[in-house]
Amino acid sequence: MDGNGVLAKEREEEVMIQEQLIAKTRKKEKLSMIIPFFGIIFITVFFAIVTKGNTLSPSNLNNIMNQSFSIIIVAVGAVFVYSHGGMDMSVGAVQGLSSVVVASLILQGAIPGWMVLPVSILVGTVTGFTTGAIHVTIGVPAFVVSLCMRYIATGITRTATSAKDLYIPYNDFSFWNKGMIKLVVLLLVIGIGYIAFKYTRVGKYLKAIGGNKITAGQSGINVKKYTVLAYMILGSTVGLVSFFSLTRTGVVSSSTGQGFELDILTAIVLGGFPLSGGAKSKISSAILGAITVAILTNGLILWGADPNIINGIKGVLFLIIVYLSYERRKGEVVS
Amino acid sequence: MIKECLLETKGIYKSFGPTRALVDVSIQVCRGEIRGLIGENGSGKSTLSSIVAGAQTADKGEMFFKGEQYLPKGNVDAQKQGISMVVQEMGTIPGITVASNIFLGNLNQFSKSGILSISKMNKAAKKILTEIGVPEINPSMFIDKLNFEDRKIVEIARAMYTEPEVLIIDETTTALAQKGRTLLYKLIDKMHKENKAVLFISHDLDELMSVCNNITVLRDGNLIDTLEKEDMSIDKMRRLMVGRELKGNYYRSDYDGSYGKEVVLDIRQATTGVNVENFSLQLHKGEILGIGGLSDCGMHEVGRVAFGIDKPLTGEVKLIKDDVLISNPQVAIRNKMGYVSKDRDKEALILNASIKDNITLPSLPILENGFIITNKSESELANQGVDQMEIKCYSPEQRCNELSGGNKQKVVFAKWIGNGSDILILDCPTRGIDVGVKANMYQLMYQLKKEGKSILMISEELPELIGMSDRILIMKDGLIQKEFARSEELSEQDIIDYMI
Repeated sequence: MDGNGVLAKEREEEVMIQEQLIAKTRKKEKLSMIIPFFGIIFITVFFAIVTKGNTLSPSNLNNIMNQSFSIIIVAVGAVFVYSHGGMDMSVGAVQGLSSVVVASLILQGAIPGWMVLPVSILVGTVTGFTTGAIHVTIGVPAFVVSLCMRYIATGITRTATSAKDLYIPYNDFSFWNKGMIKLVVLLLVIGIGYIAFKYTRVGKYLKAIGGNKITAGQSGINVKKYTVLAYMILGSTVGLVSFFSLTRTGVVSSSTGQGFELDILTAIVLGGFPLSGGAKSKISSAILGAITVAILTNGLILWGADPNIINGIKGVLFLIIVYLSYERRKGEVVS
Repeated sequence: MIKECLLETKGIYKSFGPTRALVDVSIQVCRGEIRGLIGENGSGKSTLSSIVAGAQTADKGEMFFKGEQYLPKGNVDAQKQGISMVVQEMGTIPGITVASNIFLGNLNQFSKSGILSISKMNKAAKKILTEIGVPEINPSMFIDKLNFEDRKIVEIARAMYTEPEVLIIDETTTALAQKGRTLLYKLIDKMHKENKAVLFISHDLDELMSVCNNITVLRDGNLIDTLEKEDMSIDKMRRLMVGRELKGNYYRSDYDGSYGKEVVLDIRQATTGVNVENFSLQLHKGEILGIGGLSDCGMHEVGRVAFGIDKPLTGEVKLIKDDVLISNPQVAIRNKMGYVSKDRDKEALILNASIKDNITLPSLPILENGFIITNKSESELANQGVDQMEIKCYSPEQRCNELSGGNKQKVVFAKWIGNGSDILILDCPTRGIDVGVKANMYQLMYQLKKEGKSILMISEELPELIGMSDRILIMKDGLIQKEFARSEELSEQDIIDYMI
């Protein structure tokens, strides 16, 4: 009787310790999910204080909205690439390319107004396809292929705008730049991205490829096909964003889109998204990261930082975040 | 004779996330002792040994080595202090030479003002390789040129060159054939005679009985008992490991060996770039067809070809019923084939994904409703797999890298049972798995056979081939040497002659 009592007590203790351990792990997981939120709140408050509230003025909030719009949409597209362990360094250049192609077609009167949006998306998708297809067929790392794609696209944009910047009659498209329309587009992209990533084969397969390419292949996934598809999805979001920024500003210059890929990369890392991809990839991380980048860029400008130095600051920040989230033992970023 | 304690652990605790790997483990190993360490997968034996070897640190507890407190800063440090370990997984680094592998992390001794003397290093490597009995391995050769077994032997050389006083051997013999085993037993005997100590982890209870002086049993991270030589018996060890009596037969009990007439999978004259030449076999409905041989005999490649992972250069793999040629794993899976790779962690599982994600992966097309795959349908399939395979976990959301080897293998099986595969290609299905789980796997295979499913079982373990197969094909150098039918009289010795 006594012996049994002791045993039961020991067992109870065992269960308690086990539960504590599980709770501890859960807490750790939750904490890593909350940190990006704190990041946003921190920089919002920080910039509100140092700019004496300027960052929170209605006109500036509108600015932040506009900047977040582009970064969020492309970050959603980028989730498909980064989740399978890929990388795309051509995002900004492709935005430029897409703008140049569309602007030239408009200026030559070659396409009717309603075709502008589809063509813009098409250019992005085709470049994404090219990057992905070269990557999987000749086996060159996506990082390298996309860098080459960046030089090619930048070259085309510079050539086309070398004589003078291209101006389009942007009043024709003022409909698209109404706040409500953009909000609807943004929510649509997030919604479709979320469902495609979380509840369809596409997202699940890409996460599996990011987790283990060999296992994915042996489990019946056409690794090459889905890899190419990921770059096409990212490309299409770049094309979409290029349409909106072209019709908002009405101009394409040699610097259109410059440095955009680093904003995306920073957004991905700041949101706590694992750069190695895999099971922990989440759309929400990318969106949070995108908003953080937008607020950060905007805040730095209003604070009076030289625009030329902002990229430098972002670079330093990027390094710090990667350092903090790098899990040395596994050689993984953010786990 | 007064025994001098060489190594002692006191109250070691260790947990990985929510999994408790070790709970208050204290052991004493004396000079001259060959200590066996047994337990099911996940019992903590590998964790304990890697803490002793300095590869991991304990959450709590102390260790003493030669009477002094012992706090290794890593496995290189432990090795310098006199404790070496040969690990369970492949521990060699590809792309560098045998000698570089042996002296990994200790190259300084061969370098002078920053320049490494390759010839000195090779000479030292040659010396140690000769000492342990493999003068034929050339130290300047790239490690990739060696087969699995010889690479393991190189690891043993790496553990031995510092002349350790405690040698830890973790499941190494699973990867070794006769040559490697003999070599290892000799080393163990030498350690014993030199009054040093060995910690020996193995699933092979017969082997432990013959090699060890005493055996410590772990279960769920707790030290259960330490048996002296005179108390050891296979039954007792099994009972202590599992914590209950094992019921029923280990392998299947019938010797009828019958199977359906219908051929389901037909490999015709397949030749691959590596190891397989003009290979043909026919797998029947309801048949367990075993393929055995040495690890480089080509049988693993046959499995890969059968599932479409490697494409044969000539010849074909055909599913008879639907007249389909298997050209890649997607076609194979669409036609209800499943494949369990021998390399569980690298090929069969996504380690940092959840049990659920892993189980559902090949079944996603089946779960699709329109384009959408709901959480509910995934969870149902995963729960079903967890229940049916009795996977030990606190939730299907638990990540696979927190599971023990046996539980991981159950997840792999659940993948293919879950999508209703009719033909299973199992490459070393019980490699590195303890008795309890093994028995489950054998029962499952037999049940599948009775349901009319077909199994191609590739195995390096003869007892398992003899115990489970309806037919056994023995391969050597990419060719089938001999076919055996199921029989009660069939012995390992009958088969071995055709393998070597």
